[in-house]
Amino acid sequence: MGSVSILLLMFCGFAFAALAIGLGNKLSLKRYNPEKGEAYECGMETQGTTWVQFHVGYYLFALVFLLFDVEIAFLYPWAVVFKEIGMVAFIEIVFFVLVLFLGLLYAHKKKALSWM
Amino acid sequence: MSASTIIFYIVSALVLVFGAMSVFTRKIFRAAIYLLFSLIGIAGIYILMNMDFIAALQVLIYVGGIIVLIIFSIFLTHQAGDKLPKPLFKRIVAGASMAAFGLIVVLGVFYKTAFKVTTEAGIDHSARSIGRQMLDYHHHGYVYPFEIVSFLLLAALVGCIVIAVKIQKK
Amino acid sequence: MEQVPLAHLLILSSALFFLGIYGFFTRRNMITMLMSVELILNSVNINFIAFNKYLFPNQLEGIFFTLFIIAVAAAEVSLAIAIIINLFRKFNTVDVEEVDTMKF
Repeated sequence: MGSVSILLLMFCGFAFAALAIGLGNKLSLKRYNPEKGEAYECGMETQGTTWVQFHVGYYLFALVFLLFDVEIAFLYPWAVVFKEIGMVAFIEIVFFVLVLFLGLLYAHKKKALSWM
Repeated sequence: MSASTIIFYIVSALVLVFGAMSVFTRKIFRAAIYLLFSLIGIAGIYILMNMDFIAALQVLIYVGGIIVLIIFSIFLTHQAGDKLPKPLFKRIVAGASMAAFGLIVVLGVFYKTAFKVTTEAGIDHSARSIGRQMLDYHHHGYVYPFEIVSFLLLAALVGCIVIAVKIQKK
Repeated sequence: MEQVPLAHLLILSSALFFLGIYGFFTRRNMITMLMSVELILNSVNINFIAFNKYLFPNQLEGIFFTLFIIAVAAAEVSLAIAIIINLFRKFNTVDVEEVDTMKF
């Protein structure tokens, strides 16, 4: 029974999005005017495309985020059962987190976390 | 045919279509976005199999982490609007025939093998039982790989920083 | 979900696997090759989960393998991308066939 409603919800979601975009596209009035395409009211004219190359600092942040994301994935089942296992679980997780903390210290020492 | 099986076929069709689009498209940024949809569809399949924890991990790590990293790497190395060159015809033929041959062999093996599907309910696959077995250190526990994973992540972190800081200094 | 036969899940995962294989052999761009590897790893994960669910519902081994595969995939992707960026700085290309000079 539950999955019938999920199917219905899925269908309604697709139908709603398609209807909103399709009808909006169909009914709206389109008049192109170069003034309308500009950045609104203030600032410089933009130059070039938006596809520019990023600085490598972005990569370092995403990297540190991803590896600690994986750590969280392992911490979650630990946190659920921590109370029933007790001290042993605590020692195991201290070791786990300590090793990753060394990584964080290394990243900090190499200035990977400071901007540029 | 119940509703959940219909959902399964819709979702698996989405996974395959988006996976194929990510392999065949010639715009690299679009390939990353199609891969993202395909991975979300795989998370949906895990949910249909009642593996909620793995589905959450799939969304958290693959969709939220790995794809973001891939998109950043595209921005770092490409003018992302550019088209990739067409693959050589020779290579398409070789790759397609190899993939088709492998698929036929694997499906043939699956067809021949009699899997003993059990219908018993089994234990629940919640995060609680996963955590209980992961932290267990005598009967079939996984505490040793669990600790090793921390070393793996440390090694990856140090290696990446060594490589990337060298780039930054240039 | 109980009505879906195991064979259909296996067909899904093997089709995804060989899509990844095809992409890995036809693409020459390192980042798209990496994406194909991700598809391959995900098809393996589906297989592990399906076997765990259908054949051994009393165990959790498939789930643990998936868990560790995901962790290893994260480490592998981050290192591969670091290497790709480094190569791009050196050769100004990410095409695997043009990166053919070694350091010494």
